[in-house]
Amino acid sequence: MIKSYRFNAAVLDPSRREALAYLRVKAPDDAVGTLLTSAISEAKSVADCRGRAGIFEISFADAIHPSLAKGPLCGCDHFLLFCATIGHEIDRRIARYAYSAPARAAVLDAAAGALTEALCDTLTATVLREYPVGKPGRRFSPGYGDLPLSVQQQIFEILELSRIGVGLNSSLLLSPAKTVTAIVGLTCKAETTPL
Amino acid sequence: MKILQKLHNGMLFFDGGTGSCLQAAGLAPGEAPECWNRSHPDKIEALHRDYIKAGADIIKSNTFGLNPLRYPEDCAERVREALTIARRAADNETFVALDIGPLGRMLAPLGDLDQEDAITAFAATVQAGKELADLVLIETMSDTAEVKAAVLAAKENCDLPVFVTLSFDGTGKLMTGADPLTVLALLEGLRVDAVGLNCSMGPEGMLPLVETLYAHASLPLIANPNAGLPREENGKTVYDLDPKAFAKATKALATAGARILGGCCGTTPAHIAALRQAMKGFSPMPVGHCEETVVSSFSRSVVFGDRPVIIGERLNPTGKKKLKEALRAGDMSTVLQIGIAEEEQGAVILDVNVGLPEIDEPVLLTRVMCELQAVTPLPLQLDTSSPVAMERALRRYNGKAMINSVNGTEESMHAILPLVAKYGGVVVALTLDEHGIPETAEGRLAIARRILERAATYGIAKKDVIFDPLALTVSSDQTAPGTTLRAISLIKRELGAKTSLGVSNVSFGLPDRETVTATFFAKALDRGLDAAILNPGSAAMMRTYHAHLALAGLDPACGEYIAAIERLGAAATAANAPATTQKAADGMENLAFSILKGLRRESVEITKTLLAEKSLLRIVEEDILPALNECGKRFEKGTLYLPQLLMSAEAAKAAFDTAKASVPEASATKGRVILATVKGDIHDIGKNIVRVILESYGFAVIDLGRDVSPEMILQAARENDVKCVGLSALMTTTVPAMRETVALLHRELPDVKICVGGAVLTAEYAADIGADAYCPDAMAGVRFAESCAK
Repeated sequence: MIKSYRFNAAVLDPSRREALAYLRVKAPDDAVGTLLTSAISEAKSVADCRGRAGIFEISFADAIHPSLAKGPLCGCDHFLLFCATIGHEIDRRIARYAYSAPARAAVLDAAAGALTEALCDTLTATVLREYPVGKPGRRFSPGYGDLPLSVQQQIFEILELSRIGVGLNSSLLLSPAKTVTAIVGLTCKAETTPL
Repeated sequence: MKILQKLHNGMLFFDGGTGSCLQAAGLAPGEAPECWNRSHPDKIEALHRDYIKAGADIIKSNTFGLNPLRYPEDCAERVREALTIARRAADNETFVALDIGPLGRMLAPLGDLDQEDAITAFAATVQAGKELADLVLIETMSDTAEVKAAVLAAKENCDLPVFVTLSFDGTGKLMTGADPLTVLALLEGLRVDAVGLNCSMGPEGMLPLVETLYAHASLPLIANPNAGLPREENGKTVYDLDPKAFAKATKALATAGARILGGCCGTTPAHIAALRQAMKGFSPMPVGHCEETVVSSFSRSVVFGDRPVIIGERLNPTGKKKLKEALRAGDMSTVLQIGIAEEEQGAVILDVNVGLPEIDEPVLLTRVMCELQAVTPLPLQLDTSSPVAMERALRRYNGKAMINSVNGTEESMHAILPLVAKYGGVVVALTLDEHGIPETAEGRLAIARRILERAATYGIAKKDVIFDPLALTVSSDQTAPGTTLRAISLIKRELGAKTSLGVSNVSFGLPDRETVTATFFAKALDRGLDAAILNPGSAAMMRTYHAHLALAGLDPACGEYIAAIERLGAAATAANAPATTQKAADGMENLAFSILKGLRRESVEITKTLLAEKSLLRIVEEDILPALNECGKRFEKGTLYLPQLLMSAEAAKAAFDTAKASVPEASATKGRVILATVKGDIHDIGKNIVRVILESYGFAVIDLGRDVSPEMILQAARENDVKCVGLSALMTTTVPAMRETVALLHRELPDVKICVGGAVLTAEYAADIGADAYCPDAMAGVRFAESCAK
């Protein structure tokens, strides 16, 4: 079953390290550190965190792309397909700061990226708690490996992403900008060997 | 119009859910309900009949997902098939609604679907179904831009009544941010026949929203809730309200003011039957009547009431050289910076005027308006004397705009009032006519009365007209301000109408204009002025405004006044303070140190001091450029990072602008560069970073924005005689557009050099598409632009 999810951004814990990595900052000085703290707080305050997710049997993978079952989902019994977004308002803020405070725009963009990642993690954990059908593998998204970007179209339709305000344009860009679609392979608990 | 008559007399009932009922009848997950019109027409007809038997007055055709974007081959045929089934099921007493759902694509600026394309798509559905329908129902909408496109399509292609329901989320807002009042302003302006809510929540969740709508609406309200909240049982979705509980909770929505009830997801004929049963003998609430004057954007509304409304006047090229140049060049960044600054200074509506003799005003006004709506939630006041430009902008505007302006001349009323009637809006009415501006307040009142009467013939209510009794210059006529002030009082008293005033004119030709203007503003506020067009950057005006709020009892505990004065005072103190005397350890001068540290305010202050001792050119060469070069070197070495580089660039640009302002005729020192994110690409953060850095180095950047066509870039390059164009693209899917742009520019303007950048590009890729250079980061962009300038 495909479901919609909603999260309070306050419970998410975006990684500062990840945000700094987006900015290619290795050692932040006080000014950058302060700016990042404030940007993370702003991102959390305006984010509208939503998701759509469903768990499918591996036989359904071909409906997305034939490379999946033999490639990244090889050996999986099920897979999780999801979309996570932090909403439109953050895009407007970033666009706005590009004209009034460009450094803030760049840092907010990075903070929003880290927040989206945190949302992906929380969404994945939530769905897997509800439907503990298997052990999760690595998360991957369209555009990685053999999975072409064009599968966004199939994912968009399967998950009915317009229900959470996500759009897909003819260049296969998702909007809001801070939106991720992803797949996680799931292997049966019984078959997984303890590390 | 039979259905509107019936609605006038009492309540109406919609049917309930379609998709959930079809799933129960065997519709597979992922299978589109509209496909059953062909594969199982008997089951669709049976569902319609079950709903009619349950007591539905209106059945929805099974066309929710049918539009030409999804069914390009045979949409019209499919729509007619669905309507034919509904018609076959309907008896003489049942109305058939042509059901229209969202297109499934986001409209610009959130997505890439052009508004006119959306209108065309909706229009195809309306054209196909109108002959067989009794009304159009536009439902489950969650974006104001899309709902506007759908309503325009319905209104332009049929005469059927138009009902609209939207899907608000648990926070009481649409997915794109609008609250109920904002949506209501838009849809009342577009003159739909009934408005309301459907889907996304059960009747209990809808109750506060229906209450809010009823308090502000002058239209019948619709409520089509879900059967409560969904949950999963044995792999199937079930809803938590049984028919009896649903009926009880939905009845409360009628008590709150809804006049049309029905159901959405999870509701069945049994729910509708129970609802009809529960509503037996119920007397509906009267249709609301609200006199509020409201304008809106995509996400917020401004109500004209006790609190005077500040309308920013700065987006107007008259007397502003920099804005004129930016508008001519198509450079949006200057325009957006002014708008954002006005918002931060306290404006709640922005006047937008792009009137220049040699530009294509209809195109430019709409473009500037759209760009502004991408960065500010403030409602806009569209200010043009060209009815063509006004219509084009109004059609596209996301919300209910302020329209500046109509006047008492036949020509103006004939041109503007039909636009207000069609697109909605609050129109500013100037009290002048063929004979000019009357010298007396009574004369201006007479014109106001005439405009109001004429507006009424177009169905435009008094609440949607705001009168501007025109402020004239006191230096040429000392009785003029008194006349204007009396006219404010008269119009308010005699007509009960709202007033607005462009106050700045009054002081023209006098020294210390601010004091004169602010005093006049205070007098006008005292007469009950509802809105003023002014410069929110003027401390004198904003002080007066906040003092008025405190004195008029509109500022509890004077908290807002105190905060405003602190804010304005801090700005003034900073402006007058001597520059800090920091000196960097490595011996660089103050300004360079401030730039390197990214201290914007300090950089401006030090520049002001420096101007007393050296020229613009020397400041640039001796202070700004060395600091920037140092930043650039450290960035390239990896010891200084992007946020710091940007902060330094902001400080350098602020210093540069300050220095340049002291030399009125100074032009940019290093030449012009065009930047654009290519067609199809809407991610422009990289391009924006390059703009900031280039500007800090003294280049005049013409920022064409994002999703820019090759032709538009060519035109701008040609008209502005540039030597260097920078293109950005984020996605592999938009690189072809970049290739096309490069080819076009090289063919038409072989001397222009092109650099490209963006996440997916590499030097090889750049060479492959024919670019002159690949710029991996902003500093590389600067080096390239410098090489072109040589």
